[in-house]
Amino acid sequence: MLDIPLARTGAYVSFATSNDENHPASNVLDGNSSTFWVTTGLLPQSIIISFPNVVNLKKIKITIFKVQNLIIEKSMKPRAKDFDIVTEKSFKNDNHYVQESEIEFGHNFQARHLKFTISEAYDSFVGIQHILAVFG
Amino acid sequence: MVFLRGKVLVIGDTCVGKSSLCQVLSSDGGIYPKNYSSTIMTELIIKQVQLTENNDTVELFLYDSSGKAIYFENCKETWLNADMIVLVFDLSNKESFGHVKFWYEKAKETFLYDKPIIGCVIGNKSDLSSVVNQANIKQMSDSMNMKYFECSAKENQNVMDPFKYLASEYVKKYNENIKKFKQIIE
Repeated sequence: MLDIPLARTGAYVSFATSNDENHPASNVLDGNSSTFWVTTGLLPQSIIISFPNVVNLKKIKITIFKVQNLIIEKSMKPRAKDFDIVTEKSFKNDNHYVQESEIEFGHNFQARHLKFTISEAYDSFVGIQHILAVFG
Repeated sequence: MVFLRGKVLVIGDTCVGKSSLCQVLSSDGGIYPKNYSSTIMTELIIKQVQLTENNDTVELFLYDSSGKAIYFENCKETWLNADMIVLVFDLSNKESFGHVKFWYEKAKETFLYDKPIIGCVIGNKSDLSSVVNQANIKQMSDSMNMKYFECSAKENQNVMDPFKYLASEYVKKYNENIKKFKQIIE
């Protein structure tokens, strides 16, 4: 399932705190390795990915640049609100490779919206290349 | 064309004109505070800088920090995640120039990582006669890798230049980062 771009499953970006028309937030879902979303300064920065209905998720994989601390939250509501924290991850600084992380959710993990917040970073601008998911 | 936002620390000794500079900047020369009012903790002033090249815009979030020692520890807490530094001193006050390095070192401590710092040194009150040696100023700014500007908040002279410089450096850095990301992917 990791190979199918999330955009093709009906998922979409419903909110993002930064927008550069050349590197829009929708790039994280398109499955294209040569595109990414880039933040345009200041912290924190967030992106919300919404699914057309509640989905079962087994795990997600995220590839990013220059992120120090990432918070993942979920919501079950039809509208993207009332988020609960799922997990928080720290990353090491890397100048030559993308930072990769797989997050396993365990059994019966359901969500309608996922919110990714970059709270700390190693640079003024950070990038997110992919957010991929395995459905349960 | 991009729209960027950046956090700028405006620091330096008390009474050198940090707040005047910020207020003259944000009002495009309309407001110059004639009476002295000491800044308590940190004040936030937002100023959009338009760059003619490529039509880029940078919104500077200026953290005008008090130069008074008693607020120092609290001010430092507001300095986290800054992108740029503006070091201000008073051209008619030798002591304030001597403390520029101190402010630089303190601000540097709050940059938790190895990113190169964009910044500049401003000698304010250029309408008064300078008591600071130009060679010393150059030597010090060079040692910190920062560009030096002289201006007068009172006369509204050259106030915009240092901030235009910061904005253009910030855009440059943004474009470099994107280039670097692209290289990493390939």
